[in-house]
Amino acid sequence: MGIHLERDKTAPDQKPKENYMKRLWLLALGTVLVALLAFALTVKAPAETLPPGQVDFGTFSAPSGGGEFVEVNVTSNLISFAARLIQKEEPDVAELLNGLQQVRVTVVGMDEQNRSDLKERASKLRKDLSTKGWERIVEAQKDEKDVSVYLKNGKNNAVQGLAVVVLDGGRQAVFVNIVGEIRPEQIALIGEKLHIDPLKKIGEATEK
Amino acid sequence: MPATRTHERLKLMNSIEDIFPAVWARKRPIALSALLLGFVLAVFSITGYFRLSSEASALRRSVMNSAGGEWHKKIAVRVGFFTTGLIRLGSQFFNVPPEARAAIDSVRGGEVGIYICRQEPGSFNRGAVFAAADKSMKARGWIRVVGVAQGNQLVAVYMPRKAISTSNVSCCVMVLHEEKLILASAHGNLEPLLRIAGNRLNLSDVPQHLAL
Repeated sequence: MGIHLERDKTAPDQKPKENYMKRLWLLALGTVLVALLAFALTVKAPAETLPPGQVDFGTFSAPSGGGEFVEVNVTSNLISFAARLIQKEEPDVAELLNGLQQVRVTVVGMDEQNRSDLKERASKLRKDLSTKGWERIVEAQKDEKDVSVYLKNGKNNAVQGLAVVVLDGGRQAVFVNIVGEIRPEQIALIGEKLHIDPLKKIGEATEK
Repeated sequence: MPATRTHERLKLMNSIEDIFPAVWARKRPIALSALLLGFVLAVFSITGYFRLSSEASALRRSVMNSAGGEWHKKIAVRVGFFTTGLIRLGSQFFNVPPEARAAIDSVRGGEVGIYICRQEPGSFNRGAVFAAADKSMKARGWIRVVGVAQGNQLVAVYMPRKAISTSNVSCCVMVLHEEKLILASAHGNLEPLLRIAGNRLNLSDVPQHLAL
């Protein structure tokens, strides 16, 4: 009976303590889980936002020496807008354009200050593409011109994107990324329809 | 009988005189506020012709800040939907060629601003100008679709990130040519132009110029 009495006396003091500790543990666990979730989301976010056929070239700056710099970024809105305009006249081309999500072309003129940096970026990009499952379908080197064309295939061999890296001697570097269903022989057509001259030239060069 | 009528008329006039001052005294603050509001709106509308839109102003500020130097305005003109609507309405009464009518019907608003820098040309950082302009426009939901730099010339074309349709197209162009900054933006409905292009021109040529 005495034991019972003792237990009865201590129990009311211990129970709130135990509850408090339990809550503290739950709170700590919850905080850790939320932190882990937030970390996972921030780490995963950039990878999730990029479609499979998109290449992150990073940002390019115009050459400080006053050299040439051209950047064209045609997004899906603009592409589908262009496709709608030619739907009746050229349904085949409209269909091709509808299969695209983005066309990005960057032409950077090379000078003494950015030449080595651009060459390094081009070679790093080529390595990255090869390691990330992009298939190199064209590799041509002639008269200091260095052209590489990569294709990204998804499931069932569906093309997800195309990337082109060109080093035109020491004059200029060209980076192209077309996201969507595109074949190399269609580059010139897209360049022509979207009025992007560098793309047209690359397309013609790859066709040869 | 005529005397009775005259009496009635006089009575009526007196009652109107009695009522109107009372109504005027009661409504005077409201009427004055409405007049003041109308005046402020009129001033705001008129000065609006010489102020750029928020997007173009933001672009101008970012370019000027990043390029540095002391800038002064040469001209800034803007017409909005009201003015273009009046022009459309007014043009109905004149015999306008179909091409011109299509152009008038397409434009829903536009603006141009020209600014001159007193700084020596060639001293601005082109990369910094692009970066600042991109940041400013991105915050407003616009993206750069074209950027060209050659020597002391810079051209950037911005379009809204949201979905565009032929009935609602907007674009903003920035040209920095040595010491001169030109900003232009326009929005409109391309359907009248496309209709006439379809009738008169080879439509397959149109998208090339529309896309970029």
